[in-house]
Amino acid sequence: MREIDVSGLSAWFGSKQVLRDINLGIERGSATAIIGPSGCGKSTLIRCLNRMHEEVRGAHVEGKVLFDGEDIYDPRVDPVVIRRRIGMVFQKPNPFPTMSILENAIAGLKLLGRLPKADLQERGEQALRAAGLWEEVKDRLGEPGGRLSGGQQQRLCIARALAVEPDVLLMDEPASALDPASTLRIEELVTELKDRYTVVIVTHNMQQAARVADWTLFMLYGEVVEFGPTNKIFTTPEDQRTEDYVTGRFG
Amino acid sequence: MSATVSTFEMPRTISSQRRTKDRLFSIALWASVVIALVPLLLIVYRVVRLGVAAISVNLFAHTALPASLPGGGLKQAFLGTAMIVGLAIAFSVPLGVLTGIFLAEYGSGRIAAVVRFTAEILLSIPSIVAGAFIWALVVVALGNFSALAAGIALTVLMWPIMARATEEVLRLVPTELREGGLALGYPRWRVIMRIVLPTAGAGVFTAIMLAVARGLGETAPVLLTALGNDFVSTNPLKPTDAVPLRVYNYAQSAYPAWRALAWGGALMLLVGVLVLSVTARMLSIRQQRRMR
Amino acid sequence: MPDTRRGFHDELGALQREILEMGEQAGNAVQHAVHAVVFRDSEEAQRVIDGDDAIDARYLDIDQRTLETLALQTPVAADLRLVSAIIHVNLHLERTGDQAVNVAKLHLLTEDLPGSDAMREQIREMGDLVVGMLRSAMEAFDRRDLELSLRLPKMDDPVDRLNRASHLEALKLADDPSALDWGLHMNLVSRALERVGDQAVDIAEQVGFLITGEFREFTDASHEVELP
Repeated sequence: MREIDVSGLSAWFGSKQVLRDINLGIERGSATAIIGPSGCGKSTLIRCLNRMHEEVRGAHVEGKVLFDGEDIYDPRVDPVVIRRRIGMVFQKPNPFPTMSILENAIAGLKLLGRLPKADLQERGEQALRAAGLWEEVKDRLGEPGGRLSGGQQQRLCIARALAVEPDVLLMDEPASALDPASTLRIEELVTELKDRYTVVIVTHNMQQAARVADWTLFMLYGEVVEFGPTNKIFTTPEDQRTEDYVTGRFG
Repeated sequence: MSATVSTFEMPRTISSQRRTKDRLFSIALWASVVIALVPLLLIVYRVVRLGVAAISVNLFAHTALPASLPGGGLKQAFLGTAMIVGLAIAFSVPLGVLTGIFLAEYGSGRIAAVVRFTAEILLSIPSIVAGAFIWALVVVALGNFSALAAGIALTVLMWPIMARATEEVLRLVPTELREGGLALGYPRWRVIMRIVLPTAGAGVFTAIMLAVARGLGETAPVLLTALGNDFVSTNPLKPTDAVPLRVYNYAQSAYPAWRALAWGGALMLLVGVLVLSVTARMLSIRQQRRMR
Repeated sequence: MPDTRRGFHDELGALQREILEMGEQAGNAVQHAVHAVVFRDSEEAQRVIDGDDAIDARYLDIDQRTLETLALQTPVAADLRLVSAIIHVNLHLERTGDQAVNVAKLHLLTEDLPGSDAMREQIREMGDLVVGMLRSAMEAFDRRDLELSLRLPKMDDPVDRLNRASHLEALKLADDPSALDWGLHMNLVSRALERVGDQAVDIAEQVGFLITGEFREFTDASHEVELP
């Protein structure tokens, strides 16, 4: 069933249009990869899914994004609430430097009202386990988040996003800033996560999309070119432009 | 020398012409540094030499006495400065830091531009103008000189420094931290309070210290608003003494004893400003290291 | 270091198991087909023919999955050689299954004709040999046993001899037209079995490639091959 339904989505930075009339359906419990050359609008698209795009001054959006049946762009909807159900992990790992590892993991939980300390602790542990980080940090939960390696920091950010138990996890090039071994770990993590969450991942690395995603969306100049099952996109794409891109003939 | 030099014929050593030019340039640079430093060093030397002589328990423990009597001190001046600067901090910190937060977080609109411009102007107005302004406003209204008026006058001078320095520090906090907070569902104010401010942390403290360093040394506004007092004053609504004020008066006096006290006061001011500036600098270096 | 591509490596393991099972199936098909000829069991022959659908279905499945693996996982090094070897072995096994069907059909065509026990004996021996070769090749694949794979060509020699001998044996039936008819068909059977032997050698070549990274012909139609 469809978790997210995008229809007629267009987005601008000031007067410059970066997304043109996007239509897209994302299935629950799947991993969808968004690929395309630099500047095609993939990051903008993913940021429209949790209303982060409009945080940039002068940015605006038209169209509908239905999440769980409701349009997240309805004027009555509070973006803050949306973001608690649609989480995001960024390209550059961004653990909060003044918080410890555990505090980082539970940073989102503080918003849900007063929870007893033991509960917070447990949910923090669960999140760290889900992110595949628990074993490495269980003896140093009080250390500052910034002391971890790049790959560990990114997994901490993933744990932080997972702790609030979102329905959807958006990942904007989560492994771009990491070394190859950490990248593969993150990919393995995504394949595990897609059982419980709906994952949308932007990547400039096509092989990553091929390895990880059930569905792949190819974008060009702010438009959807092709959207389909990953194995189809990479074995017999329908659109010539898709074929040219995945075979490396351009982009 | 041939007109074209192939790479195989490149001289291995720097030509003597170039070496001389390099040397002359270095000498010129060093010379300007020395020239700039000399007056500073001379001042410091003189103040220290003459001020140290006046350092004694008396300086801090005794209040002003007529020159004919021995054992006078600057106690009331130190306490007065403390009160004035204390009031100034109490007013300018909320004003300055909140303005700084506003400018950094919401600072792209027209209102922010106006506020920023105002702060820039206030940073460079002559301090006596601030003093005169507050005199007209507060001293006249209250009917007498007071520590409060002096505190307000210093606030006018201090808050722009705090605002701009706070803004600078907050701007240094990487955007991705803010985005991380927003993406978790934090409302704007919480992103600022729980993530941005704590991260900037020491930087804001540094901003306050820099502002206080300025406030400590300002004489002109205090002159016009505090009046001076030979006795310790605990009432902010009454005139009070202040160190710069007292130094100003004593330095011009005919009595050697008073002049000695003036040097002592000057030395203490120097020490105070130096300590604040150096601490601020060290904290800021540590802060920058953490941001990376 | 933990395996960071567990999903992919699990799939490789699954494909390998599929190939080994297919090897079993193909080997059994040949064995049953030979059995049908030697013991004149037409029902068994029919079963072999029906059973080929399963082998073909598996062939298609493995083919599709290896293609997907190449597209989606971009395997390299030993993983890539394994996928390539699986693709080739898949084809050889499918052909082996087809040869078994040929043998079975040849029996059905001649089930009413008289035969010669001598030739049946030859065919039985050939059947045992080539099924043994197939099993050895698949075992070499499973265990990555280079030495075993290098012995396959030698195992082919008796098969070739038996194949030639069966021609001579057929000539002995020249007096009886229906027996000769049967005999000539049996020559086709022994050729089919000889082809199965060739498939087994080809599989062994793939094992060699998988292990060493070099592809060497173990037998060449046009000239002698020296093997270590």
